[in-house]
Amino acid sequence: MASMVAGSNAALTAENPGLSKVLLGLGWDVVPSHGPQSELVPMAIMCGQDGRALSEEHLVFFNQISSPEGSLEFAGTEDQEQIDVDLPRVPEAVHKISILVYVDPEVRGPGTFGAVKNAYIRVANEQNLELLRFDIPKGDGDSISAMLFGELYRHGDGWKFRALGQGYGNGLAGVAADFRLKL
Amino acid sequence: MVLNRNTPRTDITYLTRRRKPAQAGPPAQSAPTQAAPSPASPAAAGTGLDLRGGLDLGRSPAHSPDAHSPAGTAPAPPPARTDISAQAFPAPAFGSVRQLSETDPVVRLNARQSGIGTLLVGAARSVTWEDNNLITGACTARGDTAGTAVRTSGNRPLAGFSEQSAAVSLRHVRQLRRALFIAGESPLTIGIFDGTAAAASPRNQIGERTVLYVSRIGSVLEMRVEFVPAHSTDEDIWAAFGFTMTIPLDQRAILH
Repeated sequence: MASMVAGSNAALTAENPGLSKVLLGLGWDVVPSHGPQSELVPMAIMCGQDGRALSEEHLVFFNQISSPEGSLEFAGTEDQEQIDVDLPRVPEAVHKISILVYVDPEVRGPGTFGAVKNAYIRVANEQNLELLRFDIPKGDGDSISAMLFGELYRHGDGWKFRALGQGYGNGLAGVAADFRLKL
Repeated sequence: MVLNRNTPRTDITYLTRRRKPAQAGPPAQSAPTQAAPSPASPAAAGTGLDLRGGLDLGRSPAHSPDAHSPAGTAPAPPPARTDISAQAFPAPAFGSVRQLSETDPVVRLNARQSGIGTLLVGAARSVTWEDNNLITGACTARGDTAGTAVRTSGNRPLAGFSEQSAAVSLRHVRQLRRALFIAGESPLTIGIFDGTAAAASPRNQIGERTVLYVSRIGSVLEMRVEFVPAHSTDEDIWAAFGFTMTIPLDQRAILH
């Protein structure tokens, strides 16, 4: 298992020959509160060559739990969320799969990442053997309401993973604007 | 009373449909049953759901290699996305109808609209909810409550009022079964995170009161305006829509 730092990448399939299915596990702790708490929601977006979402149907989150062709789907509860990726089934048009977590924009006290600690993303194989792990550095989360944790992207004939930890001050609206999503 | 677990109950047919593999031997001579054919019976093939190999409740093939695949063949890929909402009859998309009325009573949100942020309904005099466990409650804009509140993991009620608007937490939309918003004297306004909105007049042309009925179909919410007699009380309207308030049972109530 290799620990990653923000901005680093790893040759996922080149270093793991035969790897076809990967499990992306995301987790975090939220400081307990008696009042409304930040509710974090993972989302994965399938992007084309231009880095934009292929369509609104090509994102998965808890209420749209798989991509149209089924190569990307939410599953499991060992981490807060697990995303299964069947790499050979990912459509050719998909050049990148961005994995992010947003604070649900609930009007009754939405919250921020300020109450979030120990956030991570890990990449494992089909047997849940951890291959990569990125522990998100604890920064000034008070001004952040969405964060790109990492991305899977095509590289040659294979796939690489990049650790990001990039925050958005404008939350899901900022994500939607960046990825040209109508949310 | 001693239970006889060996002899199938032929008098209650639905109890004999699913049998554990260990019990799937030939039926006892004294109790032949059409619902429990012999595992070796060729007549059973193709006549319905075959559970003789046991019911597999395991995870999807993405997490466990498919042990049932014949050697040398790749496991079948998991099916593409299916949701019960895909089987629903066509309905206008939320946003395509600006005013819900008797002529345009129904709109349906998509899965993104149904799962992000808050459903806000302005100018409702009350909101009523029913969750997946059939826990039912209601509250009014004035703060009166009935039934039982449904709390979510975010320490917010699944449905309630936020300032003067009725609100439903869409992060927990999968907990919601249905909700009912009763119009006050001003037009109902319905809004979601992406800015899409619609409105409904508080009364129709013959003076009946508007109610907005929201039901969840799989991953999507469907909204329909209905009309009730103008002077109906909230209790009358709950009864008309089949809502029965759940008696709150907490420790304080039990102890006293």
